[in-house]
Amino acid sequence: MAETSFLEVKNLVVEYTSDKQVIHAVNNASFSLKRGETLGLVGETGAGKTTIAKTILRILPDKAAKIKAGEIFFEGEDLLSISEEKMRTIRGNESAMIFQDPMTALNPTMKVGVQISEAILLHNNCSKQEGKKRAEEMLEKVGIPGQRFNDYPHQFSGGMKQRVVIAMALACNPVLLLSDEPTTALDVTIQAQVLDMMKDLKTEMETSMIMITHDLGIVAEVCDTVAVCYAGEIVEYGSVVEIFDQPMHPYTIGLFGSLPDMNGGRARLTPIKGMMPDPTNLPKGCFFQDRCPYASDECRKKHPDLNNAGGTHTVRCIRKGDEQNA
Amino acid sequence: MGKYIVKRILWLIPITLLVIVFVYTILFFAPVDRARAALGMGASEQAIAEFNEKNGLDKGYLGGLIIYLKNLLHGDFGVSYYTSVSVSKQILVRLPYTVKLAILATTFGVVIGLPLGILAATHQNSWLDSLTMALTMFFSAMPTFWFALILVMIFSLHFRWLPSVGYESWKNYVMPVVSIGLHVSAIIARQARASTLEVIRSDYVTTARAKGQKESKIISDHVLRNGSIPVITVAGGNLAAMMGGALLIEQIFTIPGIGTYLFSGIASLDIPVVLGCVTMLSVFHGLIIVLVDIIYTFVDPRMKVAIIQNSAKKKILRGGETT
Ligand SMILES: Nc1ncnc2c1ncn2[C@@H]1O[C@H](COP(=O)(O)OP(=O)(O)OP(=O)(O)O)[C@@H](O)[C@H]1O
Ligand SMILES: [Mg+2]
Repeated sequence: MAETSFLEVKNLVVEYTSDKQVIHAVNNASFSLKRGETLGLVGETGAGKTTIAKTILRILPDKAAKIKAGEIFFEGEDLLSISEEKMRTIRGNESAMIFQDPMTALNPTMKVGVQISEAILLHNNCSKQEGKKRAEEMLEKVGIPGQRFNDYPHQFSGGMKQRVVIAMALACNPVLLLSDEPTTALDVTIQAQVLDMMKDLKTEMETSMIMITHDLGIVAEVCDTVAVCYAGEIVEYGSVVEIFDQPMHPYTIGLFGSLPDMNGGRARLTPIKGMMPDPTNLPKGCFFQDRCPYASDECRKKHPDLNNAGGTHTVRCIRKGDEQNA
Repeated sequence: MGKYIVKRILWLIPITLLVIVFVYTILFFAPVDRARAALGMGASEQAIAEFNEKNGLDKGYLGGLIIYLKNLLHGDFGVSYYTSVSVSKQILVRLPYTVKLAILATTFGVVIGLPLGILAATHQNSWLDSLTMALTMFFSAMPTFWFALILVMIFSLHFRWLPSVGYESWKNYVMPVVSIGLHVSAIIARQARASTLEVIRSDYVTTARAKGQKESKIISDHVLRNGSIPVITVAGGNLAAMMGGALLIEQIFTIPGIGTYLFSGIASLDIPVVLGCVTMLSVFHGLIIVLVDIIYTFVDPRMKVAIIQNSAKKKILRGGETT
């Protein structure tokens, strides 16, 4: 595994503290990503997807969040043990993030172009004019006229803001792109446009990507591998083919309940009855036990390990483990 | 934009008129015999009649108001009932002291309060933050005259470094400015801390961090501007309020500003004096608020658009009505 891994997240544990309560947002998450590959990170709201992405860039709120354990190897280096200075040279440069909410991700009192050129000027030895020129090129690339460099975010529509956020993330040709639901804020036609644009840019720049999404259509369209996230842990992991052909974890099966309409249009993850366990008070045993139709006594007693299910496919469920062992 | 400002300034006229009418009404119906107060109890009937005629007090409520407004139109604020000194002259002489004090104290407040508030926010929950919060709590709760008296005790009575009365030298302004400024800076620091904390937690600051920007540049480029918007409101409001003079402070340090003048006018129900001060106060207050709005549009581009769109929308509506 290690030989070709470009990004490897190992046993990541992240907690938030709010009102003296500890929120277990990420619990022992592990996955890896090869150069040029796209990993789809799926799961319902509050599963810890954004937290994982922010941890990779080390931009979690420093008071509220704490990385309790884990390693993140990026091009062979553990991002969690390097200095802040070193990390700053990676952020926005080799690794960049497209934020979930374009409405709040842009500074309302700073020109849009200046916000794009900020990263360019930080990571390249170039003059202000050169930075401006490149920012204008980035705007053109995402389909916004370069003259709009001097506009402020409020002069843009939601879709255009999202493009600006994308242009900002791509400004320094990152080798790792963390896209946090880059299309949820957009209407369907623009969604398709933005997605196509990202796919083009990705092949053009040979970028590896973590695509956080609720949209199975997007997963099928752009991802090579999938990690299903539940209550802060990866419950199923494998190639798109493996996961789509043979989802094994009851949670994944539940999510894919809508798969038959895949041909009809964009299928979204279907809601599953019940709620995710309270992240301040996770149950003993399997986190999915309360919603699982197959839950047994053992599921309530012992937390399941990630079991191999053939190929690169792994599942965190004892049923799978039993089959495997039997 | 220019049109908007002119409109805002024109609006000050009816507002000021309304203020004048209100204040005049209260003063006119106050149960006091101004002639006897001015001329003494033993004044002759004739002297009293002359006094009332000279000051327009014989024209009744409406007559007096109309005469006052007529004179105001010619820039004449009338004369004090009791000293016969021209009110406009007095205001012109006194205004510079009050303006100087107001601007210096507000500047002091911003220069000390804004960085302190930002520092406290960026070091949230540290000893620096706790200390700032404790101090600003104290300084915003204590009245300014209390600081003034403490300062006088220390710097005038004990060390004899600063004069406690007078208005000629810059030294006379140190203690008045500091005693008001400490209070203002405490309020501004608390506001700056609160708004900075909010901005620091906002998504666009995380975005800036994700670009690899340094913390210090994040504060100066992203946080400062957004965090200072509420601070402008507080500073502007303070400046406007201080145009009426810092009453007690002018009194303590015998600064001949608007505050002392207004105070003496109110105490003796001297209608022209009070109305003159109030008119001036309401105009300045309005102008400062317009000025603050203009500053807003420079700091926050969203404001400018809101203003322009607002007037454009009205124009469209009006156009629609005529066609
Ligand atoms: N700043 C924070 N302070 C405290 N708790 C937080 C903070 N940010 C996130 N959390 C908590 O951490 C958990 C994971 O949140 P996260 O934002 O990573 O979820 P997500 O999978 O991205 O969800 P969504 O699909 O809604 O974006 C949630 O329980 C959330 O309430
Ligand atoms: Mg999220």
